[in-house]
Order: sequence, then C-alpha cells, then structure tokens
Amino acid sequence: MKKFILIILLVLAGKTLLAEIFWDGRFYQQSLLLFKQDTKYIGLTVLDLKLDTRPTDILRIRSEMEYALLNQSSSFFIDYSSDGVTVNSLNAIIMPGNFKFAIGRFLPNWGKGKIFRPLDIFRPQTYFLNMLCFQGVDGFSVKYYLSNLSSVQFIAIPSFDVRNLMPHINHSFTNTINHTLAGLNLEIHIATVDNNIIFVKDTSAGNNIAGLAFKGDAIIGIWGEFFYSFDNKIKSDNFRGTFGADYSFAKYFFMSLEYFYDESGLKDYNDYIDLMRIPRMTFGKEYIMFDFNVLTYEELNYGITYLGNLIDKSFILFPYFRYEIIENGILGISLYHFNGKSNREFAPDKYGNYIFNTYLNIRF
Amino acid sequence: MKKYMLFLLLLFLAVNLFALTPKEILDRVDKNMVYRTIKYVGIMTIKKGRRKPRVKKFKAVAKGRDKAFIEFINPGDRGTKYLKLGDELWVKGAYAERADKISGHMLRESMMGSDFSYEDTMENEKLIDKYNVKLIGIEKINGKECYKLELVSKVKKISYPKRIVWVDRNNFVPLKEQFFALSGMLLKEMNILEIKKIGGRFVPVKIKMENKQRKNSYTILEMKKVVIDAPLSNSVFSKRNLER
Repeated sequence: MKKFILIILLVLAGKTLLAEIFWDGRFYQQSLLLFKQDTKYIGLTVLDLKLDTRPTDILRIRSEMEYALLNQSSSFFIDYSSDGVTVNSLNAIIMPGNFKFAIGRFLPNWGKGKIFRPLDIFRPQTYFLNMLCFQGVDGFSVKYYLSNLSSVQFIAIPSFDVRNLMPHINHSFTNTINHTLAGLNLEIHIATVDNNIIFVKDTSAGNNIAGLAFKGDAIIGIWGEFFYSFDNKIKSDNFRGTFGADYSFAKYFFMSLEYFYDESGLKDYNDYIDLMRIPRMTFGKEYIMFDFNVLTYEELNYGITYLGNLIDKSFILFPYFRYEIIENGILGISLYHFNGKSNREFAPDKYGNYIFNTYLNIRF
Repeated sequence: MKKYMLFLLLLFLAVNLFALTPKEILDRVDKNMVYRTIKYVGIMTIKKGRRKPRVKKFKAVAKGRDKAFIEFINPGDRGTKYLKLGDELWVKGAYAERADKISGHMLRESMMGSDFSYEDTMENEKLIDKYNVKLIGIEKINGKECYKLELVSKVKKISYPKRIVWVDRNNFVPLKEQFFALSGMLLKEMNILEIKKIGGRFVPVKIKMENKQRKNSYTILEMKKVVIDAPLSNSVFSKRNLER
C-alpha cells in the first residue's frame, strides 16, 4: 500500500511540474493445465501499468507496477508467491551531456543470450512458462557514453540476493543471502560486434565475477557470454558460458540455437524438488536450446522449441502458436512435453508428461 | 527526297545523341531521391486482409547512405526506437534499460508489422551502386509517360535481386516499382500516390507498398514535415540517443 501511495505521489509531483505523463498498460492472463494423475489448473492474472514522465529535457521518471492474482502459488511463477501490488521499477534518470545517472529501482540487463544469460546477474532468469516482467533491483547507476556506440557503466546495489552468483549449488541456500554489490560494464563496439567486459564485486564476501559478452553478425547472428566467479575466501571458482546463433531465411523462417555450459552444474540430483527452491534457472552442466519459428504473417507465428540437458538426456519439447486476435492483443498456446528418466532435470516426476499453456496478452 | 532523307537522318542522330542511357536515367533518379540528410514525420497505415487498418506514427532522420534513426510516437509503440548504421540495427523498447543489437539478417524483416522492411524504410543508397540497369520500354503510369527500367543486382548481399522501375520522364521520380526475389517471384509493389517539390527536388510524400504474397495487404506511408539536406549532427545516430 505504501508503494502504491508513493507512486501516486510521484505522478502528482510530475503533474505539478507540468510534464506530460505517458502511460502504457497490459493485461495478462495465463493458464496452465497439468496432467499428472489428475488434472491441475494454475492461473495467473496480471494488470501491469507503466508510467513515464519528463519534467525537464534531461530528467525522466519511470515506473512500472503490477497487480497479480494467483489461484495458487507455484514455482512456475517464481516472482509471485502471493497476490498483490508489486513495484517492478521506480527510478529517476538524469542525462546531462554524455552521462546517464539513474537512482531507484531498475532492471539492468547485461545478458545477450536468448534463454541462457549467465551475465544477466541482476535479473532472475527463468525459462518457465511465462512472459512476465521482473522486479528490478534498488540501487544507483552511472553511465558514460565514450562514443556513439561505446559506453562504461557503474552500478551499486546495496542489497542483492547473491545465491545465484555463488560458485557452487548448495542445498542449504533456500533462504536469501543479501550482500552489497558493485559492478562495472564496459561496452565497446568493434567491427559489427558489441562487446562487453564486466566485473562485479560482492563487497560483503570474497566473491567476484568477471565476464565477457559479445553480440554481432558473421552472416548469421552470433552471441556469447562467459562468466567466471572466484571466491577468495573459500578459494573456489566457477565458469559458465553460453554461445548462440540465429538466422532467418526465405522471408518466413527463423532459427536459433544456443548452448550453455555451467562448471558448477550437477550431473544428477535425487533431490531436485528441494533444489527448485533455490533461485537458479539451471542445475545441470550442459544444455542446448533450438528454436524454429515460422512467421506466416506478421500477426501469426508458430514454431517449436527444444530444450535439453545434454548430460542426463532429459528434455522439454514444446510446439507453440501465437496469434494477434485484436490489435495489441496476442493469444498464445503451447504444449510442453517433459521427457526423461526419473530424477532427471526435465523428467515428468514433478509436473507430469504434459503441460498445456495458454496466455492472453493485451496492451492498452 | 534526298533532303527529306537527310532531315530524317539528322533527326534520328539528334534524338539518339540527346537520349538518356539507362544508367543516366538511374543516375538522375538517385540524384533526386538520395539525400544528404532527411527528416520527416511518418504515418504508416497498415492494412492486412479484412482486419481493421492500424496506424503507426514515427519521427525519422537519416544522413548519408548508412545512418538512420526512427522513433515511434503513436500510443502503444511510443518510445520504441531503431538505429541503423550500415548493415547493423539496434532497437530500444520504450521501457527497456538499454538498446539491443538485432542480427543483420533481420533487416529484411517487416518493420512493426508493416509491408516495409527495416531496410526499405531506412535505406538511402544509390541504386546505381547496387544494380545493373536496362531500359525495357516506355509506359504510362497514371497518365504520365515513364521509362521502364529493369534492375538486376550486381552485389551479392541484397534483399531484392531484381526490380522493375517506372520512372517519370519529367521529374525522374520512380512512380511505380516492383520487387522480385531471386526465383523471379514478385514480392512487393510500390506506387507513389503523391509527390511534392521540396528544396528543389521532387519528393514522394505518399507511398503505397503492397505485399504481393498476400491478398489485400498493403501499407501506406505518408511523410509529413519533410526537411531535406539540413545540417544534422552525427550524435543523433548513437546509443545515447537510443537510450534517452
């Protein structure tokens, strides 16, 4: 409630400065049908509102908040454990000259990958069955544009749950571990490639992260991220890397492929259900994702995605269909097939062999 | 009789001496259509089949052959921006924290659901640099006499390996254009609906692009507040401007 009042106050403050306020909204409804022993329904309804105002030429205030209604809590919607209002972002941005200062809640996304983004440190990652917005982090950022295509950014986050950054998966990490983080991201454009050199320091512990990322073109689109974390206190380190490529051809077809390696990944896990409480997207060592999409018309596309754990041979296969039923309104349908032996990552043990997913996403 | 024959011969020579070659025609098209800089407000009306037309509005600036910047200002897309430099494209969503690079092959794809690709909308290159040209006839388009040119690509990486262009003989504006795939299949057809004289040039300000692969699918692009060859800073074409 306090957050809601704060937003309203900001809106009024913006209004009093005679600035125009732009807003965009979204209604999102998702339904999951699980077929394991009996049929189970999980539903999520979200009303999302984005506000944007520019009281002066160099000052901008933005906010995004959501009201979510769940019929039951579920690990499918990792950010939604209960109903209510969530403020995903609320920040002020000042851009004098070649600087960009931001303070408040925002969502820095440093990753380049489609699904596997080890350098997207500040954003919870999930390939779980939804298209939701994510809650930002509270902090301060300053960016300096070195040239038209290059920049350097410094971020300070006073309190951040660092479980996903730990070198190794630890079953005891079910409660949050909040530390202060400082990060630097240098972006340099060379030839046709955007390159990033990243460094993040956990000031509350001995954990540091170094990263490299690139995204560009070599006839096909290519990208990669390399994450190296090293903990000076416990003398432990971890490497993660992702590499991907995409290509479109014959006007209507689009393919993408992505490979992910995590040195800290487990080869097998008998207590996978316990592991799901840790905020990590993956627990295995090697993965591959392949997507084939057909864009028949601009308002209709369909395709199929394969996501597999290369070590335990389990996978998810899901065909999907998206159609724009009205202007700015998309209906999506997909059928998720889980396959693998018992206790494998994508085994049907937890959710059954199939999940039928539908969503309606309307922007206004 | 001899005088008559001589007169005809002289007339024939005069006509051929002063007739434009296909390259010269295309060169004149380029001189008229390729700008040092251009700024305008674009309104796209997109019609797909039996669906209600949708309207998108944007501000566009372009400089030289390879720099273009577009910002959408209609509700629903407001704040979405594109930056094109050469064959590279970046996009910034209205509420995204940073710009994202799009793979170069996506330049051929539709921009915001219209019948114009990113390349179609942001292209400002000379046709003479990319195509070999042949004059294949003289035809009338909307009552105006036009050179009918066949353009076949001389570069490998190109969206439309073949084009047929009808060029107005008076002002060298391409009044109609057909775009073909490598297989020879007709992909799109463009028709100029309105032309204005701006800064000494004839500028098409209302263009209809039809998707020939789909029934009743077209986009009409209207260009308002057009300014040509005004000074434009290179800083406009930057990530800083995208992320503002």
